[in-house]
Parts: sequence; structure tokens; C-alpha cells
Amino acid sequence: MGFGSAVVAALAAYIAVLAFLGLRARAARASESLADFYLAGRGLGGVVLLFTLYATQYSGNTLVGYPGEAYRVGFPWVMSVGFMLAIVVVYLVIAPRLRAASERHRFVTPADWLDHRFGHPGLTRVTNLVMAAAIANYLLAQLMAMGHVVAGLSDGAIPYAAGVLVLTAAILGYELLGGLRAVAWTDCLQGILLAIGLGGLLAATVFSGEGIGEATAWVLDNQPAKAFRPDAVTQATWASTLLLIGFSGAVYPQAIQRIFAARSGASLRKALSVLAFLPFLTTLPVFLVGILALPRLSGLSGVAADQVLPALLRGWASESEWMFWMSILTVVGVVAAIMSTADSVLLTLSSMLAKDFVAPVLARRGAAVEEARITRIGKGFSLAIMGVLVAIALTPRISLWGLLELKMELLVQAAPVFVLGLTWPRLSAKAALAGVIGGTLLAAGLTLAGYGKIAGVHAGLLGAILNAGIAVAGSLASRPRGD
Amino acid sequence: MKLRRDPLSHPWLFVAIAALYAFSIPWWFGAGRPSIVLGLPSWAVISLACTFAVSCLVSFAARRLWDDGKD
Repeated sequence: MGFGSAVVAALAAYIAVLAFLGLRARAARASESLADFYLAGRGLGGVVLLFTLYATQYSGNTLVGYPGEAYRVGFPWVMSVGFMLAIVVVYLVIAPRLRAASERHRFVTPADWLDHRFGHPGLTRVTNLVMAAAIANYLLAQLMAMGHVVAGLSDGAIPYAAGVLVLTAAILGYELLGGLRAVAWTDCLQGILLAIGLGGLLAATVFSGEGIGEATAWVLDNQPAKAFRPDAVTQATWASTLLLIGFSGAVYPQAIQRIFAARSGASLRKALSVLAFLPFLTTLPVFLVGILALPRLSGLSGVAADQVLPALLRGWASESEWMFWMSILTVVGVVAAIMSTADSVLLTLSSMLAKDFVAPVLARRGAAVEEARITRIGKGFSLAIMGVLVAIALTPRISLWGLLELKMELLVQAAPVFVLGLTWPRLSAKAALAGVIGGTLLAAGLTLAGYGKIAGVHAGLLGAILNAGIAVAGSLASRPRGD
Repeated sequence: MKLRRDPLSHPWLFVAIAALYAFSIPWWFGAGRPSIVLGLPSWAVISLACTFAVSCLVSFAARRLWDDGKD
């Protein structure tokens, strides 16, 4: 069996299992309520919660974009282990209070907390809009990754467009059947496949001939800039990335919904205590794979960042039968990582559009807004969102890492509202709103003007600093001392 | 439900995490050729060690410094 045919067969089997899990989740539903569909009835236990947080946090970009970045940047990309962990550090700040409030007030979407904390419709709408735009971009990145990965890793047996269309249909199928319950259960399968895929990558790394020590020695001799201490600008980018990813990753709306969906505070604590170590089992092997690619692919000029992993896997698959099957498992693991992120984003985005944007309009017009109807509207949004994004994804232009940065630049503007709102009682709604608007305009303006980074610092982080500054100064100015 | 214990009420935790992260960026390392330790440039190994220490602190805080009174 050729590599391409084996990939097609493995993916077909994987999709069949996803469909089965979707049907089981449909049978397990207790009602048509929003909490049942979008939060799995608030019943996610520690193990499922861990897998769904893991599979959601680690995306196709982690497995496909990051080896390319390690190949391009060299050893400074070891920062990727730290910045994935930084997300869990920020969870420590926001999750305990968010979880406690959600137990009392039964939140479904992040906007429910914003309404509860600030009671300011303008702030809720603007913050929600920024988050929705950011995660829509993120979902688009996942759809494009699905197409690139299956086309690249199946040796062209599955064309890019077919990969996007078939995997999108699979996601819509199980998600519309079972909501978050289906997404979380499939996340468990996808998390296991991701772990197997990473095991395959590690095994391929160990058994592929060149050890990491030899690769490092080669880089020191031939491309020393990638192995010597990074320069001052790269150090600034390193610090900026830690903050940008840490704060934006923790306020992913889909991650916040998982805090609401946890069965108990204990489940959440257990999940986070394990999640803190997973960068070492996920991002670190992926970083090492990119480093190993440096001597191996050095003869190829202009290796596109996203093509490093496919090129390595094809090479490893031709070495032995055992390596062939490990490479196939890695391909399925990569596809699983992408799908598990895409399905979570899609579910959250549709819940935000239906519950936070459409339901208030219906209520104002005096129409019926029972939960089953909002859930049905959300399912309609899922179909519409995927239709629009698939159309865009069929004309890919930029690399996965570029897309991720654009998304984070926007998403991080929601972080001051959540972090300050949960930790500082004096934060006022008007000041927070002015901060979000100011920060978003600065970040988007700099990015669109071609200043994605200034002296190594991301435009999004500069926007977030301005955002937090306006929010703090405005809050202090709006209330007299001792109030 | 009120939090009985919250990681935020332990400022030392976040000071330690910030210090470890600051040290994980190799601004302190010399500009010369690094030696190879465990197959990696020495500064990258120290960076990973700092990051692992942060993982341990975060895991400890999630289990021991956060109590919502529900267990």
C-alpha cells in the first residue's frame, strides 16, 4: 500500500469513529437546553476536561506551523514550550474566580460573565465582537490547515479542496448531533491520537539516524545564528510572545466555556494541574522535530514553513515499514489536532452569535426566545459560518503562523477586561470599553500599516498595554478615592 | 459559592513564576559559542529547566493553593 492510500484509509476509519461518537453523544443528551448542548450539561469530569482543554489548546498550528518555525528560527523557538505554559499560568489568575461566579450564576457564554460583572451592553457587545472576529480567523486557519495537511501528507492522494470539504462535513456532522458532549468525547479520541502522533514523531526522531546532538552540532557549525544566544530583538520578541500568547490563549471563548462546563472546581483543578506539564510532551517534541529538519532539509532551498513536517514524514515513511506506520499515525494525529480545535471554536462561535447577538434582538422584538430555539439558531450559524469560511479557505495565501498572530493580536484585547475585571473591583465598564476600543485600534492599525512588531514587541501586546492603561487610568479617574 | 483559597492571594507564587520566566530568556548568556548539553545548546537547556520549574509551581498551585470548598 502506498503512503497516500494508507493515509486515506486511516482517515476514513478515523472519521467513522467520530461519527459513532457523535451518535452516542446525541443519544446521551438530557434536553434541548443551551447548557446541555453548549456545555455538555455542565458535566465534564477531570479526565474529559483535561483532554478537551488539551485538544482545543494544541491545534494544527502546533504540529504543522511550529516545526516550520523551529526550522526557520532555530533554538530560540524553545520559547514555544514556555508560551504554551503561560496560558495555564493566566488560567491560575482567572479560572478560580470565573468558576466560582459561574457556579452561582450558571453562565453559558463569556458574555454572560461580562453582563454579570459590568452590566454594560456596549462593553459586552464590543468585547464579544473582538473575540468573535479573532476566533473566526482562528477557525479559518484550522480549515486551511486541514486542507494543507491532508494534501501534503497524503502525497496528493487527497487534494487540498477535498480535504477541507470532507473534514468540515465530518466536524459539522458530529457537532450538530451532540454539541459540546460530542466535541469533548471526540476531543478525548483526538487527544489520544495526538499523543500517539507525537509518540510517532518522537520515535521517528530517535530512529531516523541523526540524533539531536549531531543536529545541534551541525547547526552550530553551519547556521550559528540559530544556535547562539538570540539577539536583543529576538529576546524582546520572546518576552512579548510569552505575554501575548499567555493572555490571549487564556481568554479563548472556547476555553472559558470549558471552565463553565466543568462538573466541579475539583475537576478543573485536576485538569489544570496536568495541563501544566503538557507543553513538555507536545511543544517540546515538535520543536525538536523542527531542529532535526535543519541538517536534513538544508539542501532544499525555500522550504515553506508549513511544509517541514510533511517533508520529514515522507522521508521517514520510506525508511522502514515500522516507520511507515508511525508516520501514518502521526498524520492522523495531526488531522485530529486540527479538527479538535476547529470543532471547539465553531461550537463556541455559534453559541456566541445565537445567544449573545440574535437572542437579545428577538427578545427586544417580543419574539419567543426559549432555549431550544436559540440552540436551533446556533446550529444554523454553525452551517453558515462553515459555508463562508470554507469558501475563503479555498483561496489560501498566507502561512499558518501569520494567521495565528493576526488572531492573537485581536484576542489579547479582551484579556484586560477579564483579568482586571476579575481581580480589581474598581475597574469601571466605561474605562474598560475605552481600553478595548483604543487597544484594538492601535493593534489593528499597526498590523495593517505593516508594523506587526516594533523593536521585537508585537503590535497586539502594545495594544493590550494601552488597553490596560486606559482601563486603569479611566477607572481611577471615574471614582473619587474612598468611594 | 465563595473561594476559600485563591492562587492570587499568594503573591510569592507569581513573583517566582515571573522570575523563572525572566531567566528562561537567555539575556544573561554570553555571546560566544555555547557548549552542547543533553544534545542542545546549554542556554536552551537552562531555559527549559526554568520552564519546567514553572510547570511544577503551576501544578502545585492548582492543587494546593486553590480551594472552592467543594471537596
